[in-house]
Amino acid sequence: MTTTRQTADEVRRHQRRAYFFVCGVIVVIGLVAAFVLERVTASYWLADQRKSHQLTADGIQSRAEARLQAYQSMAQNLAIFMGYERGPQGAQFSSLAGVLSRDNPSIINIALAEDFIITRVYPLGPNRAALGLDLRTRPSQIADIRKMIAADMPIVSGPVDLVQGGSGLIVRAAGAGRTPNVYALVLDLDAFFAEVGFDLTQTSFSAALREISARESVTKTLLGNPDIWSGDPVVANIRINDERVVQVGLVPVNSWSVQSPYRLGILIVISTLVLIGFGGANYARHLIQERANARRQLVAAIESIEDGFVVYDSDDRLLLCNEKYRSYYRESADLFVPGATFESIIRRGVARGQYVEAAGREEEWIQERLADHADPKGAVEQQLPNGKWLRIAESKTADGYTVGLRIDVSELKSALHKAEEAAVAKTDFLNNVSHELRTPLSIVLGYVAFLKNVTILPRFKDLSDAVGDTQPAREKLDAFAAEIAKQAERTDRSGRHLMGLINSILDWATISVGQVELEYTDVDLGAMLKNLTEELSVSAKEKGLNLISMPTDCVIQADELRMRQIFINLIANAIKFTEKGHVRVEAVDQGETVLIVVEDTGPGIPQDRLSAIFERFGQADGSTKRKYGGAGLGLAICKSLVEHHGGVITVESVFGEGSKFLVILPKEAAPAQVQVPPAQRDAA
Amino acid sequence: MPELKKILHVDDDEDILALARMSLEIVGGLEVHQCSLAADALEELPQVQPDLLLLDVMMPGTDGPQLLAEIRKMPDYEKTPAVFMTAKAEAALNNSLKKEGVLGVLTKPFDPMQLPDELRRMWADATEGETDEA
Repeated sequence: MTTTRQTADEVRRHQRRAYFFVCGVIVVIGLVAAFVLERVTASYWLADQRKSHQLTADGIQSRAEARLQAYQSMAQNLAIFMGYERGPQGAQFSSLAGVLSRDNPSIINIALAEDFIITRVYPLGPNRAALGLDLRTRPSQIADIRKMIAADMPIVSGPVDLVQGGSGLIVRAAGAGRTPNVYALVLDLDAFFAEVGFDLTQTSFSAALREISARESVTKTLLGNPDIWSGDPVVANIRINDERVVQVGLVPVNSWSVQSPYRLGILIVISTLVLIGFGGANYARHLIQERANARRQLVAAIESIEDGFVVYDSDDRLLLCNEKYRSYYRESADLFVPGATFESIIRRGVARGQYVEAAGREEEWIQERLADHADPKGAVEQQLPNGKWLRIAESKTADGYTVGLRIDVSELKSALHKAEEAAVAKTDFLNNVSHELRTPLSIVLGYVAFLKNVTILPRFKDLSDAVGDTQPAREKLDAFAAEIAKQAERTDRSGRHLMGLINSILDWATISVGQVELEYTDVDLGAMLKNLTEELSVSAKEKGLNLISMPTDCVIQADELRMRQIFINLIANAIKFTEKGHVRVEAVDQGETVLIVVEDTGPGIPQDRLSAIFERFGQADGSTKRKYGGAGLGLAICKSLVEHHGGVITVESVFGEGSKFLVILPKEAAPAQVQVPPAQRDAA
Repeated sequence: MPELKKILHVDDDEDILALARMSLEIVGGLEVHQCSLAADALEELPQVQPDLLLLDVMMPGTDGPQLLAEIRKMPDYEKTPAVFMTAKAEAALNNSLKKEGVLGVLTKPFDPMQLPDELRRMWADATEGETDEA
């Protein structure tokens, strides 16, 4: 077979490997896709988180700066308002500070310094220790205070460690004058930042606060967890005053999430796709297996054909052929490669002597073969170099493919050849027998003919002349001549009888080996029968018989000579066997056939002999043969000739009353299927 | 066409030759030249200059039809009338023999008393045909 010769197991193993490979590829693709998706979504998620926290941090910053501004305004307003007071300010201060403290819980206390010495504090209880404190003894504070007075703007200082404990911011504003009263709002750092949203108790993020200062390289955490700074926080810088900046940093509670929040979704989607991929691969494997099975079965079926099988596609290229096909074309077996064109195969085959009939007329043969192949018209035969014969049966499919069968007909061919040889041998034998029998007989009959007419022989004339009219020598000579002529006559008759027998035997033999060739012409049956009865009427009259021919005008297609032979035989037979009465011949037109009846008033044929009468040597009984002579072949020859014409001959007889021979012949030429091998026609 | 006078007879059988000679000379009063070999016939033909060729079909070596073919190749004998004589059984054979210039086919055994008449009749038929053509 032209397909790969793999066992079913090998194919199945191969397919399983391919299937697992495809599944592996699908899993790898799924994993890579899942990883990439996870990474991408995670990075977006991280960016989102940072953005959201940045917004929170920015919110804290802007609120803190706005609040500081507000506290500065508050301090300023306090200073301005208190500047309108004359005289001791104690009661008024306490009243205003109380209101401010109550409305702003971040304010721990409010202080008034006169000539840089703290003179009043609200609320007084916990802050009593601050009274009398000379601010000039605190260099870090007095610098801010002098700067504020010089700029005539409120100022925020801090964050500072408070004397009351903890950290705080101090918002100051100054009243009018060269040594103005200084008002300070002391804010608790924790409370202030809680007020602007820096809430350490909430759970959405972790926060920390630290001061950034150009002067201090080490910054310390003011609030929150200092670990945050190492956790890549989002930051916002809150400007406290011209010199000091506080930075707020935020990280999510569980630090930054580096995992995609869509992990599960990605896992589910990718897993589903992978499973679908598995299903697809399995389905494809199933289809491939089914196709392979179907093909394998087809190939196995083709391979099991007892004859050579081949298919060429519509471009006339070899598609497949079975092993049997290759085995027939031994010389060119290697040329039967799928894809090879038919023309290239036969051309190279011809060059190698694959095709016996192509020898000597290669190109012509190739063209004929190509034409046959392109337009198959029934089976053709082909001889191979090993003497085998193939019958080629080709046909076209609807798709234009050419399907061919090669059947080994060597045995058939050789049987036919033998039959032809046997037929030729028979013909030769018959011709030889005929020649060998007739030649001596011709000589016998030839010389006898002269003895019958002995008087015409020159020697006899010499003798006759010598004898002259001398009596009684003359008489004796004449009597001798008459004696010779008489004996010659008898010899002649027997010789002719023998000749007749030989002719019948040869005729019958010729017919029985199926060598009769009928020459069909239009035969006027009426005229022929009339003619025959006239010819035979002499012998009928001699026996005192009445030979009757009923007139008819019937024309049939037949071999005229053979027709004559049939009816001469039947009529002469009837005359021969009939002693008194009549012989009657009649032809009846029956439409497509004609019935000819030859009826006599002879002895008839016993019932038990009726069927044997048409067999060779089948006269009614042994005694008739002796009485009437003849080889007993006449009726057998008649039957054979009638049947060669496609007709039927039968006999009816009443023993002691007479016989009736019935011949039915078709009017149109309908020769029986007598096989005449072609070689016989040339045998002559 | 002139009257039939001279016949060249070729047959390999001595008895047939003798019988035919007796028949044609004694019964028919014709002039007969005989050969038992085709080669002899070809050699003697120019001297004999026969009116008619009477040829046996089955002969060893060159047979009757082959001999006639050889004769036809010779100048002056392209149309010399010929009659075949055969002992073969088949009627179909007769047709294959009937070529140009072949007047008929006689079957052995022949009747020596009838042979000259038979040949004359064929001769006359052929002559009649020619006259008609003219």
